[in-house]
Amino acid sequence: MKKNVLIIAVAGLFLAAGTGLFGAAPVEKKLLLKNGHILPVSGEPFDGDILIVGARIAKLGQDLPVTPDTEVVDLQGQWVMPGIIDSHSHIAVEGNVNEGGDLMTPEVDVLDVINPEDINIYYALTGGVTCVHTMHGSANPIGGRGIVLKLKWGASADDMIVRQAPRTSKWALGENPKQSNADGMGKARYPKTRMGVEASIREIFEQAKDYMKRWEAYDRKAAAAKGKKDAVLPLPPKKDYRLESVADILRGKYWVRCHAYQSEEMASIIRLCKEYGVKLVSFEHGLEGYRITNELVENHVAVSTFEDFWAYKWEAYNTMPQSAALMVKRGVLVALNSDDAERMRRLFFDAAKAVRFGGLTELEALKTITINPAIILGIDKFTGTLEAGKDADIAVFSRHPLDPYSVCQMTLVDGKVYFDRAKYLEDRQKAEEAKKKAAEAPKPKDKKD
Amino acid sequence: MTKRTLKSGLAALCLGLFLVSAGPAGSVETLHRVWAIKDCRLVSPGGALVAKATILVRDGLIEAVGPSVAIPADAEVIDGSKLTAHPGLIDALGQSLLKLPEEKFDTAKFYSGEFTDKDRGITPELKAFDYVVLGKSTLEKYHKAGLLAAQAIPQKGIFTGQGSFFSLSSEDKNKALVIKDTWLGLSYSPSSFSVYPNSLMGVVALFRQEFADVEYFSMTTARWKKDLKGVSRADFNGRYDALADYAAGRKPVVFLCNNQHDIRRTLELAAELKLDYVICDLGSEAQFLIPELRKAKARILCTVGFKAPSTSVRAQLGKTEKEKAEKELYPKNPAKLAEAGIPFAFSSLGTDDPKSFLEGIQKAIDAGLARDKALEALTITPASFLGLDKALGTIEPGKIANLVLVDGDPLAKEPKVAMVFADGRKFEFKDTKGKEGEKPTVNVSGRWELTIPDAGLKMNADLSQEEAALSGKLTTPFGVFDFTGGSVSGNEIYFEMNISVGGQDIDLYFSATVTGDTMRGNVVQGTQGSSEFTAKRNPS
Amino acid sequence: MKKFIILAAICAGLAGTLPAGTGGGDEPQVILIKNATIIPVVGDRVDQGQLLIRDGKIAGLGKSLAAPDGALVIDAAGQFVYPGFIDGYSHFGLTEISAIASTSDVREMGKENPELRVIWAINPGSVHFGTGRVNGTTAALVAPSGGTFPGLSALVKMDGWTAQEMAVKEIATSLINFPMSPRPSGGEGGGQQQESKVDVTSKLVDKIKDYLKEARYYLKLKKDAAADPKLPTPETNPKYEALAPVLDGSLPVIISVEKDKDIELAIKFVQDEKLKAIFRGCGQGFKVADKIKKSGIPVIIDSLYAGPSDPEDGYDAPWRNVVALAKAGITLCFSSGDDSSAGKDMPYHAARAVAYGLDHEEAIRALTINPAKVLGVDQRLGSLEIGKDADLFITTGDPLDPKSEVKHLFIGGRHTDMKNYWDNLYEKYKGRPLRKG
Repeated sequence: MKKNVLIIAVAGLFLAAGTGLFGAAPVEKKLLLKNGHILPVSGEPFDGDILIVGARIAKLGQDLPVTPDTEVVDLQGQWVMPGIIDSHSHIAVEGNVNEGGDLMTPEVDVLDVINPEDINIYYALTGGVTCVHTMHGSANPIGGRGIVLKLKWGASADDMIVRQAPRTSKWALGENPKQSNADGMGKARYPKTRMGVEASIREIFEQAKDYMKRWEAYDRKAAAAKGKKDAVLPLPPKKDYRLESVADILRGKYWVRCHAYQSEEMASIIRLCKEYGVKLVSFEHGLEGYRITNELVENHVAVSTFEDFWAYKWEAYNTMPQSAALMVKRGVLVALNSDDAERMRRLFFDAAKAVRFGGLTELEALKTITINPAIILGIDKFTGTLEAGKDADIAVFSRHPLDPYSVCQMTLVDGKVYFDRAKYLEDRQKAEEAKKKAAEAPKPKDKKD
Repeated sequence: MTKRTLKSGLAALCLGLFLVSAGPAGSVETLHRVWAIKDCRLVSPGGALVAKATILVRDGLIEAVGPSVAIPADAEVIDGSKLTAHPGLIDALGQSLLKLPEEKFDTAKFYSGEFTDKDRGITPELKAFDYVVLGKSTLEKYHKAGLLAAQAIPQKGIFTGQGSFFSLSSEDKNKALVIKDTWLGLSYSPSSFSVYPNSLMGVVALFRQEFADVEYFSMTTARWKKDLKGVSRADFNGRYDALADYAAGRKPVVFLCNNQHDIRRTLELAAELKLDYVICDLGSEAQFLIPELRKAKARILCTVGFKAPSTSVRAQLGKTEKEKAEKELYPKNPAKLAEAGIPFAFSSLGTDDPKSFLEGIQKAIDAGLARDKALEALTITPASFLGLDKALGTIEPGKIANLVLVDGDPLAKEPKVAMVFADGRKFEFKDTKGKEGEKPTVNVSGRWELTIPDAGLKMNADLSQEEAALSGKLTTPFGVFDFTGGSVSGNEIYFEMNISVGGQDIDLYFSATVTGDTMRGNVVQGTQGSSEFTAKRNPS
Repeated sequence: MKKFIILAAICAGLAGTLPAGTGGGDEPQVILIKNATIIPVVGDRVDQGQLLIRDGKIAGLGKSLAAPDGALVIDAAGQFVYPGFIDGYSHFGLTEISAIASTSDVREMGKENPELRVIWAINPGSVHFGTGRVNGTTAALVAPSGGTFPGLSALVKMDGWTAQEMAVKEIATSLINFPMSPRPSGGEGGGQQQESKVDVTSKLVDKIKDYLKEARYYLKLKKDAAADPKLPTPETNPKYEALAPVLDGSLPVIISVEKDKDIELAIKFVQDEKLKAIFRGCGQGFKVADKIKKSGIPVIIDSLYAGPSDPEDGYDAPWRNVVALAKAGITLCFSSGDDSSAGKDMPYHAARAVAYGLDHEEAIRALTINPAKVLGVDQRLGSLEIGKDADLFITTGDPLDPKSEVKHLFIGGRHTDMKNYWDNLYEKYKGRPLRKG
């Protein structure tokens, strides 16, 4: 039976990475990437080297000294940028990404259902993506929680999950939670209007506040009854994970990522979040964000958006590819995202479009797929740029990443190579040669499978 | 319906398939209470292979075992010189004994949205005992495979229901029952309806909330019962009541895990919720978590379907890789667990009938599982998981007389079971060979319930077969559609039909392999691709 | 006076707020583009050259053309002139917002609709014409989809007052959606899996052949009846009538097919039925490239925003595939595909194919002269040659580079209004006063 050697390129990395998890802590590996065109994003581009020690970038500079225990990779003038960060994704989630069975489902958590074997993790690496925020879908005004993953293909879910990243709560406004495009398919569900969506958020906030009050009252009574002889201990209220989660949102424990398109609902939810002290971090998609840049800047709300995906539904119609760039020029923190496994592989190409549509500089464009999403995800202290001390999350391209003919050659996460195009091509060639040999070889007596 | 069973019962008698018939209970039974199986070989796990032994059975129990046992006068003697005896095999967990009621897809409900707990998959009060049917042909199928005891559990939903454990010795389930309401099934299977939960993360959230609610209910109920004053009563809730023992860890739950991530999830959840648990490894991926399982002292049930779960990277890399993994990697699962000393028993979930269950186990042996370990996983281990190691699992005095007498190797590809004793009752068979050719070897006439899991669709199929020609009608949520021109060849069927949905004409091409009352196959939709389907014939 | 008219016309043209182009207004019929790098596609590149447009046609091309009196002169120093791109397959004008059914006319119900003419439904005012031509597309094949025989496509220019006026060919091709072999699905832990032992794809192809056979029979009866009045004429069947030019090979038919085995079946089908075919998609074409080349069937490449047809083909299969097909000598055309809102991305798909090894010149041919030839309009379109339609654009750089900007677009020798739906929003909201602090 012919062996498909190609698969080793994908699965081999996968399995090899897996076995590295057990055993004693290894001595920190040293890797020198030399002779590259380096785009640190945090500073000026330069030609030189990057020294990686363990999982971190140790140094950037020119003619960095080499020690005998350092592995050296000569980039031969290829381009190096920080690993691309996709701030809005649904990969690596097992099962339905939406819990649409009830209207509000803040208690569900993608952390419980991460599938590290999703092949889209590998595909993302082929596009230079090193880190994603994977989350609940947009079926609910308040949906479940999301998590940041480092794309360490082959590792366990536990190793991919970035525990230091702030936990997020996914909200959605507009056509999806009001199920406008599902009329006639099953029972109609309240709310059917945008104001109904906001009202239902308000309603559960109040329910959560009442829930919190009940627990506070119990805690007081229980404390009072403690130590008192013959005191009747009160019954605690029933624990409700859903309301508990909303309470946590109100306590500011979760960063709210709110899917919204139209400017009026974005402006309204900004007000609502202010009223309740909820930490609204970004609008997802926000395709009309260009209309309310003043409000976004004043309230420190970022936008994680598409470069040019539009017109697929009404609320995505009144927009333009210049939207991302116009928001950047007017002071909004903007990230370009994919929301889709296929688009994720070409985020660097989307960034190039923002140079033409709206006139971003190359640096501004690169920021939308590196440090900006890192800030939105609260992980900018350790990734998003190429700086000494930060995680070695690196993408190497054959040409400048915004060049139309650039191809991602190598992707590193935490200092380890998880995608290597040269090796992939080598394995592919070996597989093809093996296939050819098998086809040309004299056939043995046919075995019945 | 009664007529047919009676007819087949009489036919069986005529063919002499059973020396002990399922006829009038009293006289025949009491006559044959004492047996002596003389000078047979004995295989008992934990003990060495005994070349020559005599087994004495009285009143359903093993009275004595040994090379030189005195044979009492009232014993019927069986010449065991050409036979090997081993303990009756135990199916640790299966669904084949259950005949659950037919489920009709309710279009009205779909539109009204009035869903019940059952639709959500929350049915902890569903008891396997109420739905087990021990028909004569079912018993024969099990006996021929050497399976003399089985735990039956409903598999559908999230809180699937409570299992029951039977010794397959009688068509009367009251007689066959060993333990009622054994384990609670928990499955990571969100509903396909628009109800909560319909996502996997929703199922996990539901487990947390539901067990918290049960604990609260138990606590408030106990509180009121204790004080009888000063505290309000909680409403009675049948669901919580059914779950109370399981939530408190007094009775075990079995998590039906589709893949290694479900197993990992289970270890965390079970620890968090303090449950007494067993893991049913439907995806054969326990092999990837051996250190974690060892640390948690987990008890595993291995299944033998050996298909790559859809979450596995091997299932996503293309057909070649998937088939390779299903041939080389997944069948190694039991062997790897045995090597690592992780205790496991075999479960028939994922196979359709005892024959394919045994075939799957044979695959595991071919992939490296030691024969004696396989036997352990079918005898003493399941007995111990069920708390019955004093009653079953080996051939020792005092234990239940469940014995299998084979001509040759008990775990051969087609075991030549000569006779079995279940609860001390003797069952014997004649050798029958099936022929396969192009003539139809099955008759699929009848009412089938068809499920297409990918599309979340259920429908009824009324099939009518005349020789090799097949016709019928499908009752779907979108209407009733006829077809003709189908064909039956060997045990495979094929038919095409055209259905009209919302103005769109859709061509469907069904092909399937039939085994008894089940069917598995593919339905191709026009130029759009294909989905798997299964069908179960309704008993009539 | 003339100059005033010119100026007024230009101002009128540029100030137009209609979502689709205005078709040029009262511009002079003579335009000279000078100092540009001109890539005619057929013929050598001209550096610092001139191109003369007169009465809607290319009237001159060279290094030292003089500007005739009254001509509008455009100095394109540092810029590039290309023939307008031709999109090999699109739904421009058939959908506005895909989620809203009332705005969509792409897909009729039923399986057999070979007589449906998409030209009846193309909305020339669709926003997507304006946004779709922004990177240099001047003509597009607009096709219906769905079922086995979706209908008849049209080749239209990307700007005009009515669909009929925009049409280069009101009936450009017929279409057939070829059956796709089922992919074995993955199953959850416990289930047994069965692969279909019946070759369903062949059965489906047979059904298509049977349909064509019926059409042929109908046409024969009609022919016989016309010759002999004694024979009864069959009742008119518009579907079979529409297939007549397909069956006699005079009307090309686009066959959408993806997998290697299906392509082989399709080649045999085309040869058995003696059709003049164009393949579309061929994601696994690289596996049977020699066979496709031998058959002489050209291939329209679908949108390359896609993954491999089979994970075994490799993550870069869609682009490697294009390179392999080109290497085998197959005539390729690019297209923007099913999403008309991403119509502008056609040159980007070409760029990615170039990134993975496609020759840049070959890519440009696949955007210009190849589709023109394949669709039988190379007398008028596809290159900058004297006598052809003046469908061309002036760009600031490599037209496959998303960073380049098309500054002027000409269709039929007239300036097309480059201001589109996006620009209107951009201009408006750029002007909102900033609030600092």
